[in-house]
Amino acid sequence: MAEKRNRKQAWMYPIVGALLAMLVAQGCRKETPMPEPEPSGPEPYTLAIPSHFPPSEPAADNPLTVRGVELGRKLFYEGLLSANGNVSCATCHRQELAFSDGVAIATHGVSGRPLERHVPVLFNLAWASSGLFWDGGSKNLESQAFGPLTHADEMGMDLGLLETRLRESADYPKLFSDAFSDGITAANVAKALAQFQRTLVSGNSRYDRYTLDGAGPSALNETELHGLSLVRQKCGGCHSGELFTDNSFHNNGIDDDFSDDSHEWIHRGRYRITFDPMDLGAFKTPSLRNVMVSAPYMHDGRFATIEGVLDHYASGIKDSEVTDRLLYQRDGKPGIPMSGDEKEAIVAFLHTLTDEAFLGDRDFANPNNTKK
Amino acid sequence: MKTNMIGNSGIYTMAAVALIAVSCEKTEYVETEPVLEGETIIVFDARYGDSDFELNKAYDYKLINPDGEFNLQYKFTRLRYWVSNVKFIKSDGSEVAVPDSYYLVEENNEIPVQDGTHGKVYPANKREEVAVKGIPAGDYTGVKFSIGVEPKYNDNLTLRTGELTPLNGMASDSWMWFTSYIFTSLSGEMTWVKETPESKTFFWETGSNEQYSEKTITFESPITINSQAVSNVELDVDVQQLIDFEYPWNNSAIGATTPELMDELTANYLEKAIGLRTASSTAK
Ligand code: HEC
Ligand code: HEC
Repeated sequence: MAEKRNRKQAWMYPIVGALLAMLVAQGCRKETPMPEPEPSGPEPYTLAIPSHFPPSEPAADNPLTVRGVELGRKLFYEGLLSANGNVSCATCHRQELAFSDGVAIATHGVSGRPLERHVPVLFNLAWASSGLFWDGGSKNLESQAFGPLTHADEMGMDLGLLETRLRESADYPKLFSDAFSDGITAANVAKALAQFQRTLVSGNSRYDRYTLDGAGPSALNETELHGLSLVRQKCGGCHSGELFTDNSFHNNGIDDDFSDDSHEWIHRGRYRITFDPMDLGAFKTPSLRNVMVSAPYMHDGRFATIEGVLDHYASGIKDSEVTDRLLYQRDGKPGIPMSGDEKEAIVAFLHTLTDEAFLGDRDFANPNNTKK
Repeated sequence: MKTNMIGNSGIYTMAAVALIAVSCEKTEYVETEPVLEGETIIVFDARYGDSDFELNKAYDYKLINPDGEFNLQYKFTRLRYWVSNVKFIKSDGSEVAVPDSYYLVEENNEIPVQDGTHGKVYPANKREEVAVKGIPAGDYTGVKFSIGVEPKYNDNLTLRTGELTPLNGMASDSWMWFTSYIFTSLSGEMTWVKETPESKTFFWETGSNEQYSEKTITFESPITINSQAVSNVELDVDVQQLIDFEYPWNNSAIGATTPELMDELTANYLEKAIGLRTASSTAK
């Protein structure tokens, strides 16, 4: 109690002070001229949210600004952020692949050594409220950026050197001071990257246009509609809602042995964050959006094709204590039965979730290559 | 009650200034009794049992556990931890929180940055004194502080306050997947002294929101902190207590994948190692 009160009082000083300043300014206008009007803050960036999407909670500590997003975009494609000057975020997160990289396990970090997990897609991150990485260990995009920047097998960068390099560059000092009052700092690199990534909204696929407009040129055909209802029914427990993910963690039955404790428990999924035995082998549900361009699949990229994924759900579910119960039939057998036709319909529908406008959006492309 | 007095008098002072300013009189305002903030020094003096603590020096350790008695020897290369959220306790039990009080206490050899890939090092350093500033004038019976960083900052490495920074190797590095701060880091080499001695390095770290915890130190008699007084609080940090584990030899790495051992290590800091030596104040 007492402590709270003290805090509150400490807060009041600036407020009282500001009030005073106003009073003074008004009461003695002749002697004390009105203060210069406050420069009207940095221009905010308004995130265009598709009308059928859920609301997204803005990041209170790092509001989107036009300059911040622009800087973040440039940094996302910037090789200077890596030890050898050649690896940027976009080396592993390629726009045309929904910001994934097309291989099971990447070896294109500064060390050339294989990474421990598959590169995930990056979009609709403004809704990623339950943490980042496949196990959700990182709490927000701001902190997450320090992972790839410093990881020896990703960008291997020393944050002090990062600041020095940016300060010595031709463009960055101005770009940073335009975007942030305190200019170039490692924290502002992360903030700008986070801002840019929050603008990566994908919600303009054929499915979306159909959802918003109904009939018309985007209308789904019968097979696709059948696929839609099958996905809602069989997959919607986890790949739910308009984001096609519940942003939650499940064991989807790809493994039943979690004894491998190498690499600081990387194979144990969400368990290494929560230490809850029921989280063994649980990973974050990826969105089904753009899934037809983001193969291979799962946290280790083990399935090369979508057919492989569907076969897994139909007949490959491993039965263990921690396998999610949604993956069982009424009679208790593991697996989501799907006929050949049903699988085809599902794949046909998944194609309608490919957002060509997003994959080719110049606002998200390398600013050094494209005209704005 | 006292807390209120101070807080209110501050506001009254301002209100007085406001009235004067608004009425635009040329009265010179003189504060009758300036209530000025003070500062104090908290010293985290590392020791090893009864001896001084030094890096790179061999200390004997008698380990007694269910398997028997063992002669170990420890050489330390690094002791670093975040101290945060300092609060002073008034005699009525109320607390005064010091804003932005985040400090890195450390005694370390050179640490290669990014495993040496950049040919850079964090310099060797010894820092065990923390100057806590901006403490409202008053008499205090004790102090509280936390070891580690509370969730707000631990979960967002871009927020700035006090000395917190992800740039000094006490964030991310070995906690990559949490992308948060390392709360405490103690490492060095341990040797099992026997016919053919064996040695191994150890890395004992804590971190993650669950490990964030608070320590209360009660002074023997109240100290006065204000702009006219010099005060200091000396704490003992007994490293011999930090390494008090039943099975240290088999657990040469403590960190995120050993949550129970992290619990023990956190408890070693808070309940065993850190304690009051003296706290005093004198008029300037
Ligand atoms: C060498 C390849 C590589 C580079 C370079 C790289 N990443 Fe990644 N990224 C990955 C991998 C692999 C993961 C998954 C890690 C995991 O979950 O354990 C990942 C995960 C992410 C995630 C989490 C997404 C989610 O939905 O959980 C974000 C965000 C991200 N990266 C952003 C970035 C940014 C920003 C940069 C540049 C600063 C970057 N990445 C550089 C490989 C890379
Ligand atoms: C119990 C929850 C659950 C259900 C039901 C479920 N999934 Fe998944 N799905 C997941 C999780 C969790 C992952 C990530 C697992 C991993 O990476 O190891 C995943 C991964 C995928 C992926 C890989 C995406 C990528 O980017 O790597 C596809 C494709 C997929 N699921 C499709 C489906 C389809 C189609 C259905 C319905 C037939 C379905 N899922 C049902 C939880 C579920």
